[in-house]
Formats: sequence, structure tokens, C-alpha cells
Amino acid sequence: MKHALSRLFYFPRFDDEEQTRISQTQHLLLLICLAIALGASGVNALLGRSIPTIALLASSGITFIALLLLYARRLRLSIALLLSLFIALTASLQFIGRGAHDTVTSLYATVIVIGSLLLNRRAFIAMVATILLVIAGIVTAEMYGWTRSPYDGEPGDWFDLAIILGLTAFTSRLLSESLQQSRALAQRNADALKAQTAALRASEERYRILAANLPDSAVLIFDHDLRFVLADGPELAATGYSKEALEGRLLHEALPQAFAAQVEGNIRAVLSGKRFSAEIPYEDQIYHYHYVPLIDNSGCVKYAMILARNVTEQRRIQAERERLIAELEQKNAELERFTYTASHDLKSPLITIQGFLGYLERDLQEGNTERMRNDIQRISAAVRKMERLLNDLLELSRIGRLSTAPQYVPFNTVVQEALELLAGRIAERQARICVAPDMPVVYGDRTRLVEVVQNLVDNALKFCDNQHTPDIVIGVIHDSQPSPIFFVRDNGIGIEPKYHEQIFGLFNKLDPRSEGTGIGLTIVRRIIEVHGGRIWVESTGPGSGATFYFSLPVSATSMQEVSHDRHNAQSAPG
Amino acid sequence: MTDITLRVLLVEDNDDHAELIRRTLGEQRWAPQIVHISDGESALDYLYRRGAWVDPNRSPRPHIILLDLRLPRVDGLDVLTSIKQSPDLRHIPVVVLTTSSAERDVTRAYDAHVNSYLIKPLGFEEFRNLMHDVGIYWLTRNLVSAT
Repeated sequence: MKHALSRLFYFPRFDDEEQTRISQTQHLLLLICLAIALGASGVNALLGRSIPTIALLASSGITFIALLLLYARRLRLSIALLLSLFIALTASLQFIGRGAHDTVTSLYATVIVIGSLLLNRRAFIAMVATILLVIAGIVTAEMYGWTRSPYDGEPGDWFDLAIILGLTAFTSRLLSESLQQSRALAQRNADALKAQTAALRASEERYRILAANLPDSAVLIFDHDLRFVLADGPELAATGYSKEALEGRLLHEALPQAFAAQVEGNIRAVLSGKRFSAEIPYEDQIYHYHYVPLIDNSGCVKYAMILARNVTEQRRIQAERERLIAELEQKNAELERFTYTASHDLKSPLITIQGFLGYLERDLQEGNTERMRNDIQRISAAVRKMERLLNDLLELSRIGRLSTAPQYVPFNTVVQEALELLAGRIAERQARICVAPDMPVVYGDRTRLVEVVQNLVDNALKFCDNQHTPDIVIGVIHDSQPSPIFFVRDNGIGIEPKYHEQIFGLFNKLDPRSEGTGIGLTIVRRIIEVHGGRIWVESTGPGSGATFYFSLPVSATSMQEVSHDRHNAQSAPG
Repeated sequence: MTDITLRVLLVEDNDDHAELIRRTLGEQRWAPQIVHISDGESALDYLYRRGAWVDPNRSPRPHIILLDLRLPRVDGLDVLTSIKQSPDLRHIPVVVLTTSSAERDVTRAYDAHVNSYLIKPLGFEEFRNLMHDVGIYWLTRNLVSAT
């Protein structure tokens, strides 16, 4: 019930806006009429006037029917019923009142105004004609004395009323129609504006989406006041600034003073038409900035755009690639040197063997046994030399492969093992060896590390100054984490600075008569390099002794790090 | 043929090779006097008359220098460069005698104005023939500057 009642207060809506408007007006009108009719019938009932009460109740009923018709979406029928009721009521009141002269006649004007607003043109004309006919009927009834009117009906009365009501109808309709037209015009304008706004919004939305989705980028657009017109892009958040904190604000308001001052010059340059790009690190990221003047159709710079692209990853890959290329080039050069040296040094004993074999034949013919013995010795020495060279080369080629899995081992243990292997030679030379206590634990191939120390100590013993007792110190320079630098120092014959690089070369010997093939330091350097370390010698020259320094990693990670540093360390001295 | 003694400075670190060269050159009728030095630094000392070679009587100018490339201390190419840059020495013919046939070495030697570049042959006869040719050409046919 409550629901049905509340429904009474809602007017039916139509797809057409005009119809909805008519429906709304009509609904309000019907409700008011219903209320008035019911109220008036109540008052008449209280006053005991039965006929008006019945008439008003009947009117209420008809108004209610009109209301129901409205709910049934029969707009025209509903209003026609209501207006017919109005006309019938007015005519009845005229009939029982003072005929055409009764004041209720003015109600026709009201009906006409209502009709002009709610009816279409044809219905309106029909209604006005009906009213004029009804009035004509009343005047005629008056003439014959059928009414209670004290006046005698005259055609002039009808004529006057027809002119007044006709004019009312004409002006009212004119007003209503022009109102309708201007409303339609306004509606069209509103629709056009709405469509335009929607298109504009869609276009702006596209640019927004474009800016917001530029991969690895941030877009900043400034106007001539250095105001952020646009600030967007996936990288904007990464820089710690939000779109909301920047857009609409001036450069100097939005950014810290120092940073803003730094950027300002560039933006002003762009606004003056310059186009350029730069690579600038921001915190731990690298950004590639494109400074682009945004030029309108008339050729004027309207905005300055900064397109910042995060190129950290590309740069990292590039650096990594360059590092690998450099490493490969170095390896290649090393290999080339190696092949060159190896082929040269392996060829030498062959020439010796061939040459002295030739002489051996002559010695035989000549019966020169003395020279024969000498030549045979040379041949056999060359063969032995060849064997040694081959063994050493094999040894060198094996270093790249680990002999044992890398492990953590105290460097003191490494030294201890090396010294045990050299015990005989040390005793023979009566050398004094001093080893620093508590050296760091290192990470690497234990056997190879022992080999390093063994070779270095062996060299120190070999190149000792015969006048002094060999004095060898093994220690560490502590302040160089993550890869401490160890050293082996001797008081031997020393090495002139110009040979400090040469001595590490394959089969390079400063003294051609010294024992060995000249591969020892090459092997040592290779082992250190495989561990990611570096080796060098310091000596001021003959008689001053020599110190070999080498770095070694203390853990698997530092082994990696040292390996990366190696390239830099080596490129420095050339 | 002149009656003066022909002098050869042999710079060679391999004693066996030096002996082979000495023997093959010595077999010729015009057997030269050979000074053998086994490293680059000493060779320069001899030529610039330094250290043990300071006395010019002990270090007469050679008519030809036979130079190995791979030498201890100072490399053969550096010895060659030094000789060819010295106004006193550059007229002495330098013949490189090496095991290396690497293009890089050949180019660098000629860039340093070497007079001839020879590769030590592997076979005995070839070695002897080469040394014979070297002797004939550089010590008898070729006109050397007498200093």
C-alpha cells in the first residue's frame, strides 16, 4: 500500500526528453487538481452541499483516471481527459451560474495556457475550437433562457470571448513553441558540447596513457613559466617524485633548490629552441635525457619536454660486453704470444739436433772422435731441453683447470707445505726463512697455491747473492681487503726495473745460463691470474734484492670481484 | 778479395746455434773472425764500447752483424733499432738470423731498417748452404764500408 502510494509521486519517464518533461508537468498538474478536487469535495460535504460534493468527487475520479492513464504512459489521452474535465466543469458552472458572463469563464484561459504547454499543435487547435463551440453553446442557451443567467445571451458576447480566448491561445502557443525551440537549441548545444568534451577527454586520455606507459621512461613537460604541465611515465615513481607533486607546480616549488637550479638552464635552453641529449646518473641509475622543444603549428616553442630513459641496464650490459671483449682480446694476444714463443723455442733444439747430426757424419768420416763426443752431448742436451720445454708447456696449459676443488686454506699452511718441498735446497743454501704468523685464510686451489710459493722461494734461492746468506721473508700487507697482498722478499741479486715485466714472459730468462727453461714465473703469474689476483715485482736493481707481491682472494665472492678488477689493474701499466 | 780480416759480430743466445754458425762460416776459405755475444744488452755494450768493451782495441767494428731476434734482457729488435738509430753504427749491415717466420717480426725488422732477414733452416745442408751464401754475399760480394 505504502509502495503504491509512493509510486503516485513518481512520474513516468520517456526516452524522449521532451515527453518526460511533459509527463513531469502533467503529473504535477494532475496531483494538484486531484488534491484540490478532493479537498473541495470534503469542504462541500462538511457544509452539507450534496450536489457540488458529488460533482467534485466525480471530478476527482476523472482526474484519478487521468493520472492512471499517465502511469499507463498514455500522455495525450490523460491530458485530453483532464482538459475535457476542465472544460466540462467550467461549462457546467457557467450553466448553473451567470452564463458567459460568469467569472469562471476565465478558467478557459487557464485551460488554453495548459493546453498550449502540453498538447501538440493539432490537439491544441482542436481544444481551442471545442472551447469556442462550448461557449457558443452557453451563449445560445442563454439566449433561449435555458440557464440561470440573469443576462440575455448575445452573439456579441461570444464574439468578444472568441477574440480574447483566440488571442490568448495564439500568444500562449507562440510563447510555448518558441520556448520549445530555444529549449531544443540549448539541448543541441549541450549535446554538441558534451560530445566535444568527451572527444577531448578521450584524446587527452590517449596522451596520458602514452606518457604513462613509455617503457623505462619518464616524461616531463614545462611551459614558459617553468611549470610542470605534465609529469608521467613508469620511471617517475622510481625517482621519488609523484605526478601529483609535480604537475601544475613551478620547477622551483616542486624540486629542491640545488637540483632545480641545475635543471633550469637546460629547460630554458630547450624553450629557446635547442634540442640536445645527455646522460646523467641519478642515485645508482643512469638516465639518458632527451631535451626536446615542443613546437606548435606556427613554429613557436610552446613547451619544453624532457624525456628521461633509464639506460642503467643497457649500460651495464654494454660495460659487461666491453669488459668481455677486452678480456677476450687480452686472452687472444696472450695466446698469440704463447704460440709464437712456443714455436720459436721448440724449433731451436731441432735446429741444434739437425745441425750437429750433420757434423756427426763428418766427424765419422774424419775420425774426429773428440768432436764427435762433443756433438753427441749437444744433441742429447737439445733433446733433453726439448723434453723440458714440452713438459713445461703441458704444465702451463693445465693451470687453467683446477687440480683440486677450491677451498679455504690458511696461507701459513700453504707456505709450510711449499717450504717442506724445498727443504733440501734450503738446507743446501743455508738460507734463513722468516714467515709472518697469522696470515689470512685464502680461497683457492691449494696445490697451485703451494706451487706459487714454491716457485717464488725457489727463485729467491736460485738468484741469491753468493756473498750473503739468503734471507727470505714471506708476509702479507693486511690493509687490502677483500684480497690481501702477500709478498716474498729476498736479499738476492735483484732485478733491474726495465726487466720487471719481461721476467714473467714465457721462456724469458735474464741469464741464458741459469738453470730451468724460464717458465717458472709464467706459471706463477698464470696461477695467480686464474685465482683473479695480480702479481708484480719490486726491486731497485742489482744487489738490492727483490720482492714479489701478489694478491689472492679470501672468499669465492672476492675471487669474482678480484677477477673483475684484474682487467682495470692490468690495463693501467699497459 | 781484400787481405784484411773480416769481422762478424754474432749475437745469439743459443750456444749450440752459435757453434753451428761458427763452424759453417769457418769452413769457408775467407773464414771471418767471429765475436759471439749471447745477449742483447752485452751486444749494445760491445757496439757502444761500454763496460767490458770500453777499449776500442778489444771491440773493433764488425763488418757485419748476425742478429738473433729472441734474446735475453734486450730483445733483438731493440738492438737492431738502437744500431740503426746510431749515426756511428747504422752503416753496418745487420742480418737477422732467427727461427721466427712470423710476419709481425719480419715487418718490424724491416721497419727498423734491417739489411736482410733470414730464417734458420732446419736441415743441416740447408743451414750450411745458407751460411755459405751469407758469407759469400755479405762478406765478399757486398761492398762494406771500411771503418
